[in-house]
Amino acid sequence: MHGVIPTLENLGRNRTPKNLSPLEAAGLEENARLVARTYWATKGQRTAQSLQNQLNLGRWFYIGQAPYAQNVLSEIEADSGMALAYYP
Amino acid sequence: MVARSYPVKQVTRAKLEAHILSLGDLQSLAAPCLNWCHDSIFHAPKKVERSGLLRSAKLEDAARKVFPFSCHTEFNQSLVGAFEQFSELRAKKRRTPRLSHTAVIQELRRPRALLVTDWAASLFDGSLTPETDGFIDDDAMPAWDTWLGLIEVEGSFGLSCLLSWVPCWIAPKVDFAIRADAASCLSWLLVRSDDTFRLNGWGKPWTKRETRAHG
Repeated sequence: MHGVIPTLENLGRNRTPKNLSPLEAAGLEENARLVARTYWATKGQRTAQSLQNQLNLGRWFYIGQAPYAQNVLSEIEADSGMALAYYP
Repeated sequence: MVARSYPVKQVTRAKLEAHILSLGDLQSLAAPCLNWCHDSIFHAPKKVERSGLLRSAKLEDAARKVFPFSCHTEFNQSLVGAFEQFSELRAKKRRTPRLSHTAVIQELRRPRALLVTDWAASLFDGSLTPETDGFIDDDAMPAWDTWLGLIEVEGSFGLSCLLSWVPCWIAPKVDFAIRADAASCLSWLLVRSDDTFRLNGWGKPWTKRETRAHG
């Protein structure tokens, strides 16, 4: 699923409208899940910039089309007090 | 663990002709690298910009030819060729050996000295740069001065992985980065007491158990 992320990253940085395919939505959800896994596993030990960089990614422009990813990252946003860039 | 740093016509042929990486091979790969990084083996370089940590300007062009698209570069013959040219250039620019054979081996045996990067699996999310003072970049690629070779690792996402050296002064931060990497595309490589190698595990930090097993 990683294969779809570079495309979403490039398009998302320019806020290019796009309807995600099921595979692309799954890729985004997988990415969010992995970010969440390490966020909770390393909570309190990370530098703030490290997490903010993960939230500042163009790919999240499409997060509205991947509800699971949105839920997962919303929890991180709320817990960390940081915000997703490029969204909406 | 299979060495990849030799010319290949195609990936399948490389697999057929692959040879198991030995400590002797690794010593040959590491000697020019440690020679190049000699002043940074035990101490961090002073006053270096985050993006420049162990990324010498003299090697930049050659390094960028190896991975023109950073972690998005596909493994192929051209990458292998560019890696050879990079290694040759580094060896040519600093010919006089500054470390003995024994010292190189000793450094390779040090816990947390060898890092494997499965670059095709990277999520290029910029999370590791702040954690490692820039030693690992936004795409999860380690600094080019420390690159040792290309190896095939069973269970990796990509066809080939990048083997690099990690100085002792940055190793704790790299260890944390391995844990914090969402993609789990990094792993320590251990030199066992019988001189064979073992991958510590993707995304798995170094533990006391590894240190004991390491001897």
